[in-house]
Amino acid sequence: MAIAFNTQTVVSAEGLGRSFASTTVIADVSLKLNRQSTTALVGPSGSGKSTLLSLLGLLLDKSAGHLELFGSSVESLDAGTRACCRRLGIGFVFQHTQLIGALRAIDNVLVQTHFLHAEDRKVLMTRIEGGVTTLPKRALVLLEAFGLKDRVHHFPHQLSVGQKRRVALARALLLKPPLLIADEPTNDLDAISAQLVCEALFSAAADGHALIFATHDNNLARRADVTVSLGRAI
Amino acid sequence: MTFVRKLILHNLRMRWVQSTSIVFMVLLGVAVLFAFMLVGRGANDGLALSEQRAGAQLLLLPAKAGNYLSDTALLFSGAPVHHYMSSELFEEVRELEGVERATFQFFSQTLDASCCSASGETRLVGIDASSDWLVAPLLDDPAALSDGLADGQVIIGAAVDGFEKGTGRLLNNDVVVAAVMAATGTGLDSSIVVSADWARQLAAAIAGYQPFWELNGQPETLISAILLDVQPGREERLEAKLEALGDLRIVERSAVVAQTQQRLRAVFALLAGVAAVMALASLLQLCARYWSLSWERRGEFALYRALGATRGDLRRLICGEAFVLTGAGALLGLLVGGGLFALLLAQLSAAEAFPFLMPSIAVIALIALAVVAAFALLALLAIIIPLQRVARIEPALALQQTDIG
Repeated sequence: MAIAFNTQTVVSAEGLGRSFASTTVIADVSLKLNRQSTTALVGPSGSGKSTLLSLLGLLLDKSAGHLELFGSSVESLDAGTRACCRRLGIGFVFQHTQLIGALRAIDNVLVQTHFLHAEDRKVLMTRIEGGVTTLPKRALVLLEAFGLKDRVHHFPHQLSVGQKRRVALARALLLKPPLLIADEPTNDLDAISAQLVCEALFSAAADGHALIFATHDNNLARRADVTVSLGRAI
Repeated sequence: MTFVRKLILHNLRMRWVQSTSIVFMVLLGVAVLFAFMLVGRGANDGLALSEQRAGAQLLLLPAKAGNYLSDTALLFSGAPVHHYMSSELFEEVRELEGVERATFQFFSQTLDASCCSASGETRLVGIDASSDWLVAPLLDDPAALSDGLADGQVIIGAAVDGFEKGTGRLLNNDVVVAAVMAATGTGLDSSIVVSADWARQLAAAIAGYQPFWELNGQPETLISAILLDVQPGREERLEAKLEALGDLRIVERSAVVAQTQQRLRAVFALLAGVAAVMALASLLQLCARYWSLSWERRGEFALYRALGATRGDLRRLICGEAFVLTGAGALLGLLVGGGLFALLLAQLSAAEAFPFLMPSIAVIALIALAVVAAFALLALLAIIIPLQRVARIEPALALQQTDIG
């Protein structure tokens, strides 16, 4: 099934819920994410922020409600199409960065390109000037833009937490996905690193990405167009 | 360097004990299987060829020759026998009822590079061209023996080198190669054949052989072996007559071949058993390794799934890694197996004479390919369950991880 990644509305959720056994983690969440929009998820630890982001990122299956990604209901997507959505439609910045220790920073940014399928190249040709052949150069540009010019060939264990978060952000932005999901992107960062990451995220949204992020930082949440509060409000 | 290769190298580095143990286990299995298959094939071919080409049904030697050499050594290995008997005995045997045809040979010294062109240890055999039917069919030039062999003419065995230009030196004589024998898998392959008369002249000039002549008579009246074929149905009666002739050692080719086959079968059954155990051990080791790998690296695989890898992508990754490790082990195993083959051959040859025909390059390549394919199949079997486990990994698992590896 072919996905139209160029829809204006990237995510549309109605009454979304997720339970684990008898425990309901999130219930009845409705939201809509358009391109160039920014959405902040706030709520105390355990309120289901990461779970909601996982549902939107197709990492978890919902228990209730209706979810559309790029105009398609997720129920109608087979496993291959869901993987394709994760590959080309969603950039995920994980809470713990999840870089691969075996790979240098540049290779971590490029890791997704090794799973690209033949049909993905056509999509990327319309999205990135020069298509997949320019991705190594684009990875370098992103790392340089995030102040990591001299860390390109460093391994994750040679990078600080802030530097790793920026490498992870570069990885998420490499294929210019319409949806950018960030789970507590400024968590554990010093003020300068946090500022760098925030600017990169909001700049990406301005460029046409739909951005949703979870945060405990009220100042960061206030910069978003929409704030969704889960559980007890901060 | 590709991503997959980077991951594999990283995996080797990070889990070097397990990875090295996989490579070592495959190496060991491939080496043993490769060496055993080469020995088995060479011995099997040697036995078949020697049965086909060894010629005479009966080999008669002076009885003393059997005191320190087995029948198999006498028939197959071409061990030098410096025992002689009167040439009159040959005339007697030839006239016996039931003899289809008979010829004789005269064995002289063992040659080497110190006296001759031949670089390796080579046996000098004198034949009677007029009665011979054993050497002629093996020659690359079938007409070479039709007028007999003149002094200075030699026929060389398939494994004899040093005569590549068609000429050479033999006990201070210039010699011309009249023909080359096809491989037989026996001692004939390492023999230089001359006429019996010239062999006797050469032997007479060897100072160290004088005690033989003092004991048995002058070399021109002596022979070393009588080879004969028996008319069908006359075997038992002829054997009785041969025994009545006196001090003769009678070696029956079919009995020796059967006995050798039996021994070789037992040895190869043992070798096959060891190889099977090695293969099974490799399989178990690979299974255990990939089982634990699919558990240890599930966070990494979950991340790939989260980044858009399909289950098929992960299967390809695991397969690639398994086959690279198996391939490395197999390549090293082939090298080690080649060395083991040489060692086994030397040990087996020293312990027990048996016909052996060195497999051709094509056969060696085919066996190498078969062994590598067998271990590739083992690797495939070993990763079936881990592949299923990895394919079931959900991308959400990535959320629970920190940095991977």
